[in-house]
Amino acid sequence: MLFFSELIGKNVYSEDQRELGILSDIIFLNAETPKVTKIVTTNKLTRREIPIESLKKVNSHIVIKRTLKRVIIRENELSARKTLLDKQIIDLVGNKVVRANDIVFQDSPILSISGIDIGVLGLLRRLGLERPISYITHLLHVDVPMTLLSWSDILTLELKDGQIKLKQHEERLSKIHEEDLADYLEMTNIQNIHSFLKTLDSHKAADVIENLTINYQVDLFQRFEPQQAADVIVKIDPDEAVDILLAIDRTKRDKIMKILPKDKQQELHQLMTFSRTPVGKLMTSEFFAVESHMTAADILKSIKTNTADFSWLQAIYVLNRDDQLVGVFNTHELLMQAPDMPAYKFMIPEPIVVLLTTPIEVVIYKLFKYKIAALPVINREKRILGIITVDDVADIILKKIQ
Amino acid sequence: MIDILKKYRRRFFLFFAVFGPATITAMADNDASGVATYSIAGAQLGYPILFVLLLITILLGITQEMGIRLALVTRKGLGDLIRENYGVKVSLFIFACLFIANMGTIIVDLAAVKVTSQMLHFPAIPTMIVVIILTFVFVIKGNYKLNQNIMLFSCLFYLAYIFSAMRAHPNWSFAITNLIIPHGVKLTPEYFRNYIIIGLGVLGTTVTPWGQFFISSFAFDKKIEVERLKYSQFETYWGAFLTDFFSFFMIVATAATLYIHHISLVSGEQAALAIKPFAGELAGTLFAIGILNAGFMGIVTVSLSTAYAFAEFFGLSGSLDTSFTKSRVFYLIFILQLIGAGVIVLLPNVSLFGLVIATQALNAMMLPFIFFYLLRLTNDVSVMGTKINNAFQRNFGMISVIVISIASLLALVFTFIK
Repeated sequence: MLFFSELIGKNVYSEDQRELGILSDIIFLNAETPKVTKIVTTNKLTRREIPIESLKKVNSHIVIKRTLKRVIIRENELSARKTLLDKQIIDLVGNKVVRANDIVFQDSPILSISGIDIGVLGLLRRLGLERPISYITHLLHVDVPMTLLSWSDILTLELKDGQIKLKQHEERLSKIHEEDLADYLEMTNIQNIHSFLKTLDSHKAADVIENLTINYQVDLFQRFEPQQAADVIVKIDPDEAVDILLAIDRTKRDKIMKILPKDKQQELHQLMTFSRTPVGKLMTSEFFAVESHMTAADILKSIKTNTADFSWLQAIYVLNRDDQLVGVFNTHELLMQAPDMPAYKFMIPEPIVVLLTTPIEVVIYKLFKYKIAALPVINREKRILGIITVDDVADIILKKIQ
Repeated sequence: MIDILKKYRRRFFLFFAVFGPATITAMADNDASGVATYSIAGAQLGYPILFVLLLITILLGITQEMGIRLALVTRKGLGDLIRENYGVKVSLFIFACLFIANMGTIIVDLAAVKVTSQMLHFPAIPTMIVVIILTFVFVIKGNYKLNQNIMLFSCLFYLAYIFSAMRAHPNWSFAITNLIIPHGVKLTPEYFRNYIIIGLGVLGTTVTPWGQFFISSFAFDKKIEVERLKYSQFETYWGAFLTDFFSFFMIVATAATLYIHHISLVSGEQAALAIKPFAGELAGTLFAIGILNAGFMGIVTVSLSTAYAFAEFFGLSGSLDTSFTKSRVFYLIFILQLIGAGVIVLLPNVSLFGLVIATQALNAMMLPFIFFYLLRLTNDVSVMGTKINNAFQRNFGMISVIVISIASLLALVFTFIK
C-alpha cells in the first residue's frame, strides 16, 4: 500500500543519476480501474509529465528510465492532487461526509488508486505524525483503524466537477439514522429503494422499511419474494405489519403468512380480523401521501415517478414525521401553488376520516355530505391504511337505489 | 412612476434579503470583550486611540468584503478553501490560531456574565450555568430564522451606549480631530507602550479571526446568490461602519469620564461609573444588562464560528439548518468550548477586565496569518476569476499584514521586557 502523501516530494532521478526534481503530482485514468498513467515532476524551472511506463523503481527516491518524450494529459486523465486530495466528499444527496485526507495506491497488478483515506491516520500521516502516534497508541493497546473509502464507492463521472460524490451503496449511508434514510430513499424511485435495501443487513433494512410511507411499503412487498417479506414482517412492529399485509394482494399475503412462525401467524391473524370489516374490504391501497415539509415542486416530481400506475389521483394526503395523517389537498390545489410552497402551508388540516370499523352507510354519508371524492381510512395511530373513493361505494349505492 | 417605485421596492427587499451576515458579524464584534476593550482603551488612552479606530474600520470593511466576495464567488467557506488549496498542515495551523483566539474571547465573554452577576448580586456560578444552558438551547433548539432574528434584535441594545455617550458631554471637536491625527496627550514611553498593546487589543476585538470565517460560512449558509454580490458588498461596508460607530461612542464615553478623572478600569462598577453621573442609578443596571447581552451574543457567535471552521477544514457536515444527528461533531465542538471556558471562568481570579486586553491582542496577533491566506486566495485568478482584489484592496491588505506583524512583535517585546 502506497500513500500519496508519502510519494509526493520524493526526489526523482534519471538512470544516469541526473536529478530531475521532486514528484509533485500523479495523473490517473478516471475509470473503474483508476490506473496511474503519468507522474509529474517539478523543479525550480519546469514541470514535466512523465509516462508511467518509464518509472523504474520507487523507494526512498524515484528512478525513471531515460525517455524525454513529451506527453499530453488527455481528457479522461485527472490530477490526483487537484481532483482528490483535500477535496470534500459528499453523499448522493449532497450532505458533506468528510474530506479526502490521503490517497491510497496499490502497485499490483498495476499501479492504480485503490481508495481514499478518510480517517484520522490519514491526517496524521499528512502531518508526519503517523508513526510516533501509532507507536504511542500501540503501547496503550488502543487500536486506531484506518478508514478507507474504496474507489468503487465513488461516482467517477462526477469527479470532474470538483467534488467527490459517493454512490448510493456507500457503507456510511447505513450509519445514518433509519428515519433520515427512509426520508432520503423516498426521494428516489422504488427500484432504487429495492436495490439499496439489498445492501443493508436484514435488521437495518427492516428498520428502514418500517419508516417508509405505506405506498412504498406496499410497492416493496409486491416485489419481495415471500421468504424475504416474511423476514421483514417478523422484525417490524405488528401493527405496521398488519397495515402492510392488508394493503398487499390476497394471494401474496397468504403466501407470506404461511411461512411465518406459528405464534406470529396467530398474532397477526387476530390483528387482521379486526380489520375484516366492510370498510377494510372496500378500501383501496392505491393512494398517494407526502410528508408535510415537501414543497409543491417536490410533490409534483414525486407524483410523476410514483403514481404512473395509479388509476385515480385526486386527493393527496399529508403525513407528519410519524406517518400520521395531518392534512389533505387535491391535485388542483397543488397545481395552483408556487413551486417552493411546502405542503403544510396549503394543505387542509385535520381531514375527514373513517376507521376500519366505521359502518359503510356512515362512509357513504360522509362522502356525500362533505362532497369529497375519497375518504382516508386510518387506524388508531392515525396512520392511513387505505382510502375509499366514491367509485368504491358506487356499486352499493346502485344496489340501494334499485 | 409606479414602475420606478416597484423597482426600488424590489431593490429594497433584495437588500434586506441579504441583510444579515456582514451586519451580524460586524455587530457581534461589539461583544462583551469588545465593550470591555473599548472601555479600557478610552479610560487609559483617551481620545487619541480613536485614530486607530478609523483605520481599523477601513480594514474591517475591506477584509469582510473580501470574505463575503470569496464565499459568494467560490460557494465555499474560507476553511474549505484553505484546506483545498494549502493542505492539512496549513489548515491545522490556521485552525489552531483560530481556536486559541476564540477560546480567549469566549472566556472573556463568559467572564462578562460573572461581572453582571456581581453587579446585580446574583450568585455567580448558577447564573453562568444558566447562561451556558441558554446558549445550548438557543443554538440547538432554535431554528435558523429565530437565531438570526434574535441576533439582529440584540443589535438594537447597543443603541443604549450611544445615549450614554451623549450624556457624558464629551469634547466633540477633540474627539473628531483625533480620528484624523492623534494629539492632545504627552507621549511618554509608558503611554506609547500602552498605546501599542491596547491598540492591538482594539484591533483584535474589532477585526477578529473568527469574523473572517464566520462571514463566509454564514453567507453561504444564508444561500445568497452571487448576482447579489453588490448588495452584500455594500452591506459589509455598512456593517463595518455600524460596528465602529458604536465603538466610537463607547470610547468617547469612557474617555470623557474615566480618562479625564484618571480612573483606571478594573471592575464592572468602575466601567458603569463612566455613565453613572449621567444616567443616575439606572446606569449600573444598564451596563450590567448590556454587558450580559453582549457577552451572550459573543459566546454564541464565537463558539459557532469555531465549529463552522472545524467542519469546513475537516469536511464534516455543519450548518445550523441540519438536524442535530447529522451534525454531531459540529455541535460537539460548540459545546466543548463552552464547557471548557466555563470551567476556566469559574476560577476565582479570572476577571473580564484583567484578561480582555491580553486575549484581544492575541486575536490581533493571529490576524496576519489569516489575512495572508485570505489575500492569497482573493488575489488568485484561478479562484476568483474576474472578481479578484483591486490594487487598493491588495495593497491595503498587504500593508496591514506588515503593520500588524510589527505591532505584534513590539507588543511581545513590551510584555516580556518591561
